[in-house]
Amino acid sequence: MDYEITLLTTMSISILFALALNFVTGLCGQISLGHAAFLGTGAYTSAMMTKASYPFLLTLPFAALTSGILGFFIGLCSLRVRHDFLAITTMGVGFLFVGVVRQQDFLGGEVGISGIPSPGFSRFWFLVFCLFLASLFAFFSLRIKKSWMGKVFESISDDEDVTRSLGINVSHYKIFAFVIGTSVAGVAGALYAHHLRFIGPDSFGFVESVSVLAMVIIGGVGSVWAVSITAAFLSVLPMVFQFVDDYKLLFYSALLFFMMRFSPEGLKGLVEKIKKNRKSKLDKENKNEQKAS
Amino acid sequence: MLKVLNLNCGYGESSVLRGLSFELKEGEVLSLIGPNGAGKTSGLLCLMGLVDCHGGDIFFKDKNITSLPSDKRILEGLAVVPEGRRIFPNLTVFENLMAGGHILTSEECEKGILKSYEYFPILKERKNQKAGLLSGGEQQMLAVSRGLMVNPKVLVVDEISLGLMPKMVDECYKVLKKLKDEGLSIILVEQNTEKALEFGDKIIMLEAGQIVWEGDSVTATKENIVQKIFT
Ligand SMILES: Nc1ncnc2c1ncn2[C@@H]1O[C@H](COP(=O)(O)OP(=O)(O)OP(=O)(O)O)[C@@H](O)[C@H]1O
Ligand SMILES: [Mg+2]
Repeated sequence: MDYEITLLTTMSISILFALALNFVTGLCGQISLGHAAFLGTGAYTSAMMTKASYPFLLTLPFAALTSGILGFFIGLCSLRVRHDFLAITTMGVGFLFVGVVRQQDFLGGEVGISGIPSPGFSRFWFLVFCLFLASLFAFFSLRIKKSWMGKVFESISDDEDVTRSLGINVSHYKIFAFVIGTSVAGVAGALYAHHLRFIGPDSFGFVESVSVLAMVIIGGVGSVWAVSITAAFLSVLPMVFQFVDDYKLLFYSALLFFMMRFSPEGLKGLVEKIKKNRKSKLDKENKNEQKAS
Repeated sequence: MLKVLNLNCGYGESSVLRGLSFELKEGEVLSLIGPNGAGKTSGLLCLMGLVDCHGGDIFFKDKNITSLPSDKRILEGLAVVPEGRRIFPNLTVFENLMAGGHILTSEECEKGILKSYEYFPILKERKNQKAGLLSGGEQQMLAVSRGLMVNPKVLVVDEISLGLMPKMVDECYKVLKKLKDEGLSIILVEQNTEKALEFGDKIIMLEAGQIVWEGDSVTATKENIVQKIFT
């Protein structure tokens, strides 16, 4: 039972993290190749605070705040650079984060922070809490997507220049997306730290950033459901299959490559395609039957 | 209404348009013509505040708007229909129009949408369809309507007839004519010289970023222009 709980908790945290990136990349079309840095910022903030014996729940807003502030500055960058350059910039932020954390003795340096206190509830209730937060944010994302703001996000991701030419203040929306997407990643980081009770700089490196991006892209950029399901599935693969854990980067990159090659719209697109094919096949059969009769 | 004095613009260091000046009155149409790469689109985008202005002044209703950001210019009453339509393919027709009216109150927005449906009834039929699935002509109508949402005083239209069949082009021009009669000033970029001469009150011909010829609808005959192009 313990094993299942651990598995499910990992899933829920990954879903929350992937949905956080989906908010920036999926809804607003701004790529982030260093999202693990925000997960890490939240994780370190929260871990340092509980170690200083602040209650776990109190650390969550602070985790969101520190990550969100960092995200705000990256959001400012996104106003100056776009597309591939934004990818490189955010990737740089990811490397910078790991590099800086490694050098800080008070953050545990290379070794990281161990002996992080328990969040204060049992493993089962911690799972329930993680699931609750993930569902809450999924619900929020769905609401935003349907809302007027979601439409503006969509238009920014379709064609930023034209959106600007309609008098829409693109900058505000982009920064908002970054702040939400990064502060939620910070909360996911806080959960992560108290789930594993140990964090180190390598938990938040490039590999993690690529894996979470893989979850978003493989799921189908922007689709809350597809991204959640993919995140749940992909996050436990390394726990179930040792070889996936050993070759994580290779595995996720290969998945990404094949997805881009065969179904750029992700699983969501694949499912839609299959549905359509089946429908047109049915239509054809119906027609044939009609002809025959 | 709109007065442009010695406008220079470009991208970063490079300058693509030098010394554009003109004056546009209410209900007047200015046609900008010229070969590919002459700087027509860049000039329009500079008017909208979307391309760097390297010098010169833009006055709108006697107010200097040269350094105003683009969203403020739209509030003043300038709007653009961009080159190549560029509607949002993943939004529905209705949502595209809403995006055009984003800066309005919801009542004004509703009014604007009803007006668009009046001009282009086909949009009403297709209102819940993804805009990416519209035909080229319908997309162009949507792009024009989206620009008109803010009820502008000056509408800037870039190559409305690009890739449309003559019948569609006529349909679009019919609406522009109606708008002009209602007092809208229009700046038109057009590759279709015939249309540009027929519809424009003033004609400016650009080449390599400079005005090479200008005149009004009387002096601008086709022969005149053709002569200019080939000499
Ligand atoms: N984003 C850009 N960055 C740098 N240079 C640009 C950019 N857009 C256009 N140019 C350059 O500016 C010049 C004028 O281009 P512009 O698009 O304004 O021409 P145009 O008259 O609209 O041509 P067309 O009839 O083909 O639409 C060209 O030399 C082009 O290469
Ligand atoms: Mg052009």
